[in-house]
Amino acid sequence: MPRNTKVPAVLARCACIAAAFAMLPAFAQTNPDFTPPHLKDGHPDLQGLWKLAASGPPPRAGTGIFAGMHYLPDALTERDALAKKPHEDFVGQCVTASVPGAASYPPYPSLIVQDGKFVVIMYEFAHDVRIVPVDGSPHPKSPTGLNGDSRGHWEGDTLVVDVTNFSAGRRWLNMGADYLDENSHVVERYSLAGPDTLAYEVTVEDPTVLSSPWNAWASFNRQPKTDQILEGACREGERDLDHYVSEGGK
Amino acid sequence: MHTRILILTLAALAIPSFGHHSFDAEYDGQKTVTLRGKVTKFEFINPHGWIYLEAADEAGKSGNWSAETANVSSLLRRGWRKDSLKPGTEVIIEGSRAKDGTNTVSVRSVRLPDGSKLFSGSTPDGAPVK
Amino acid sequence: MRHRTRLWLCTVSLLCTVAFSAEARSGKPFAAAHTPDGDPDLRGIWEVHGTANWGLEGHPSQDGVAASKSVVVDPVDGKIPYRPEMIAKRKAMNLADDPQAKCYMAGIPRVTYTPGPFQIFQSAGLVIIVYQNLHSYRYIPTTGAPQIDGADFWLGSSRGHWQHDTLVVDSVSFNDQTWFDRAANFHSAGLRVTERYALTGPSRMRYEATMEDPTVFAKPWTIRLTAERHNEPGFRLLEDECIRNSQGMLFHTVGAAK
Repeated sequence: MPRNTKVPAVLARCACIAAAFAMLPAFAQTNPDFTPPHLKDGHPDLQGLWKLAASGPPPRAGTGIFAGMHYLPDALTERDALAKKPHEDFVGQCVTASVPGAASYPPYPSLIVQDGKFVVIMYEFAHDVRIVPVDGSPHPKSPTGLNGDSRGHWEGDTLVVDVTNFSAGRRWLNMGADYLDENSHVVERYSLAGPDTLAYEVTVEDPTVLSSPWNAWASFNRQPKTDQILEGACREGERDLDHYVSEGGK
Repeated sequence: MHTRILILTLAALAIPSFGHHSFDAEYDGQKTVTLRGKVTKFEFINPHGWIYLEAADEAGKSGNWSAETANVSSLLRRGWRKDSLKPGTEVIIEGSRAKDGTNTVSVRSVRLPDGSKLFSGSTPDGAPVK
Repeated sequence: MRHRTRLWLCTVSLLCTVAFSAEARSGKPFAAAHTPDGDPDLRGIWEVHGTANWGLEGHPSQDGVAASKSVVVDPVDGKIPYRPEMIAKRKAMNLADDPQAKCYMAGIPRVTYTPGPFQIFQSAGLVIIVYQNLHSYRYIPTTGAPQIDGADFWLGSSRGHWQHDTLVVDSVSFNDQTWFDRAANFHSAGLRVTERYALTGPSRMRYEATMEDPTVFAKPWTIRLTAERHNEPGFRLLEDECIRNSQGMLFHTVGAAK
């Protein structure tokens, strides 16, 4: 299939994603018995330092949340070829784990902050950050980069984030070369399943890479108040191992 | 802009490899080794810390060893500090041996002179991060 | 229009012009609005224009960059007060070693005046600053939590508190790897920085940073800059990644030729 084929109709895409969410297991959805605390603006307070509940190393290809990726045959061949090209691995090179890759990157936590017109999601890995306007503004017209453009809105107590405008090319989601391209459309849903549990659901469509919508969900645990997001300098330590010395203590 | 950049094939060029490698590519999780020796240098950095030491393994093979740890954030949360391993500190390091046969290990744990242990890795028993 | 009305309008507009420029020049603290949590409202997208990143002590016009005077306001001679034994070290620095050229994080306060906008977010007890350059961000609680020590960070560990309408940020736990500008002004890991952010008008903010590092500088020194708010409709931070091109050269995706 030509790499640049676009989905013909936005409506078809929306219907597809809606149907995909309807099929998600009930336990991944918001707990109807739990009412989250609300901020002064009336929206639920999703703020906090969140760490993926799954333990273990960062996921390799086809594991963790990536287990639900079903590649088109040509795209699978591409994935396997990519895995042999570490020069194109923007995750391993500490550039970005992109969307939704960064959300799945144990053991690095992420920090959610809400300040009225924006939800800011900061990832410790490679100090990735996504600024998500929730003021109803539309996506821009052109591609915005490897993380695409995120726009959020509230559906009851769920934050729904729509991500499009990814730049052209194959972007790695993990160091195993799972990838997506500029035709991807990501819809995330964030909600509190309990006072210290964040439920995350994501559906990804990419008609030039995936044979069907990729649905995944993950659970995040709130980190103790004694913890905070830390600096995720990564590139810096890869090239210049001098000078970071503890000699005789400072 | 991004089209040009991202579809370039870089493999043809002799660009030095970089980016944090995977555990499985570099270390053998089945081959554990215990090193006893003295720290000469500790680099507390991302994406991996490095402990340099003059040590001997169980077979008595001594020399300069390099021991790779998890990233700063993981270690800080496990109680490591930049002065946890001052030069001259006597340590016992358990780790996985590098596949290339060099004196390199991936650290599971470090036992300090006072008997306490520092763990490196994503699971409590210090199993490999990746 | 009647003569008297015209005279009145001219007088009022003249007085208003004088009043606003006087306020801007004097840099008096502006009575900021407050966030829903009751803190002074510094939220928005800001940018420091000018060429401080090329040299804090001022520099002649060069390489297409306009000349600039020193932004060091203390000491009053505009010179960074190195200890005598550090002057030789400064002279021996190689300008080609600028860590920013390797796409390393800028350090404090350089991250503020590295070209590109930054965005301030606030929620209860917390200030977040996201910088377009390399998508760096700073986590600045205002709750009195202790600093992180025991590790050296590129952007340090920061803690904020409010002095009337001014945000004061104290930062420690730096590594010694960053420069203050392209002119190789440097510091040690013992650096401590105190920044002050204060609105001087609805779209202007005064930014001051005081550096203390007794092994490098004979006394603390302070820079002062102005940040302007971006009010253009739809203005936002753009994604900036640093990657290698086919020649192995690093470049920023922001500003790269389309």
